Amino acid sequence: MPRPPIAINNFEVILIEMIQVYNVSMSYKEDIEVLHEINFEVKKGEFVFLVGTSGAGKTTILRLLYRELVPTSGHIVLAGQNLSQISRSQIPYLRRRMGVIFQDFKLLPNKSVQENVALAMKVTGTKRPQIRQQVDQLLHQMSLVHRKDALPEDISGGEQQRVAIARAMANDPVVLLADEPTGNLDPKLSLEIMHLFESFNFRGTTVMVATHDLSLVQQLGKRVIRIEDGRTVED
Amino acid sequence: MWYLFEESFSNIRHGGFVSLLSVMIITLTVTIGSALILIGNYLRGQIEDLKEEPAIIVYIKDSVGESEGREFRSQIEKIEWAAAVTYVSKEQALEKGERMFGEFGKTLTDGFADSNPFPASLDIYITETLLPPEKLSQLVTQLKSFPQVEDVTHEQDTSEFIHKVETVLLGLAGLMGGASVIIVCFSIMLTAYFRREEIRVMRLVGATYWYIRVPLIAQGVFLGFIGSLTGILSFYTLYRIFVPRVSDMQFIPFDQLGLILIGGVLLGLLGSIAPIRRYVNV
Ligand SMILES: Nc1ncnc2c1ncn2[C@@H]1O[C@H](COP(=O)(O)OP(=O)(O)OP(=O)(O)O)[C@@H](O)[C@H]1O
Ligand SMILES: [Mg+2]
Repeated sequence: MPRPPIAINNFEVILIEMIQVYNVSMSYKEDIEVLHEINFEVKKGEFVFLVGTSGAGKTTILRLLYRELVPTSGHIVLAGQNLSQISRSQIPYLRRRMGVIFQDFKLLPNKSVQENVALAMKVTGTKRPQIRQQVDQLLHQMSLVHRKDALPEDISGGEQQRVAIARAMANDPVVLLADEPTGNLDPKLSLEIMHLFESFNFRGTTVMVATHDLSLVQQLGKRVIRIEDGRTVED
Repeated sequence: MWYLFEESFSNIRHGGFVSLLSVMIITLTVTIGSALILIGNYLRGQIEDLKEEPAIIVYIKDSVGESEGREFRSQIEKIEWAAAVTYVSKEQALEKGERMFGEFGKTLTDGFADSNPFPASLDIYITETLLPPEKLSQLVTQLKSFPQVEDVTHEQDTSEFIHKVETVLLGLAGLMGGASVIIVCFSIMLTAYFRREEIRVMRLVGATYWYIRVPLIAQGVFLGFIGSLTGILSFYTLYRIFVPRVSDMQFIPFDQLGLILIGGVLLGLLGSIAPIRRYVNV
């Protein structure tokens, strides 16, 4: 994915912090708080792991970052935008700059692999030839070319996961949020995917990977943000 | 543009029964609406004919002479609703009667040569084609109270009947129109409900509110369009089957058919302002 050269006075160049989370608390239902005053910052161009046991609140944090949820208190600033102040109509444009790999993939069951990847570009109004070119390239990169016309239910869990990754990368995101992106992959393929993320990261995308695969985290030796009982314990 | 077609079409296909129901209700509405317009056109023609006849005829007693009769005419002319009042003398009435009876007329009037039985009258034409019934009977009572007056006849029954038919049809069309809007609304809400997961995913990967909303509106418009098209067609069929047997009513002209079509589309559009924020705002 070639990126255009960044202009010198581009906002993104000046920006240092990509994700800022300040005293964020979150409860789905009243009285049951799942996040308690979380704090962390991720710099532009960083690669971080978000780890924690099952139910620690990793998915909740990611959902707050792409503004599917609004924190009950605290502030989140993403790419310089305060998510508690952004208007409803701005949310789609925020999300277009982010690539998200959902824990449950969220692929459309009645659309082919190819159409699922194209969806993220289609909703932004990208022209067809451009979508086609980008989708072909992503499918090739994810070794999915031979499955491009299959429906999600007819492909393996690992293949579905790669479709989700391809869709997340389709719009050349500034931030990539991956929720357990290797949950269905064998160790070898998991490592391959991580190397792929590293290459995205190398080209400037800020990457945040939520996982509880500690051996993978150790192999990569990146920064780790640990969540325990809804509280941050940073390393 | 293509995306719009694709989406609204597949929505309608998935909506299945409710979509079909929406189209059927709109079809029914348009059929009734068309009947209303057809009958309305016909009645308007009839009223035009009526206007050429005097709405009220005041027969004057034979004891009242012509000059007194003409004086009485100018008195009547000052009444609010009277647009024109003509004095018809006994002789003119006789002539009119002669014309009315055609070839027998001459023999008839010859027989009446010395004692003309036709009374002189004042023919009153009124400003409004349809005077409210209360106003009309009030006017008639007022006219009857003049000593010169023998009798008063008027066209009340026709105008009242026309009023009633139009009101009933209009009420029916209004009711069906309301039902159409509600059912289209329902069909769109159902679509949004069935596709809520898909809508959610699209929103999460960056689709705007209107990107989701516009195909749903197009769906309503499309339902309205199909419904009014079939409505017009079915009404035309009914017209071809029934009308030639009972009267010579003309079919609805093209410009009015266009308006009917627009009306149906409007019903669909109105229905597509369905409350689906809940599914779209993710
Ligand atoms: N929609 C919801 N309504 C109510 N509670 C929820 C909801 N989603 C998550 N929770 C609760 O919030 C807590 C954190 O959940 P979350 O999904 O963020 O954990 P996680 O770290 O992603 O776990 P896992 O590793 O299993 O994916 C859990 O206790 C969970 O039960
Ligand atoms: Mg999770």
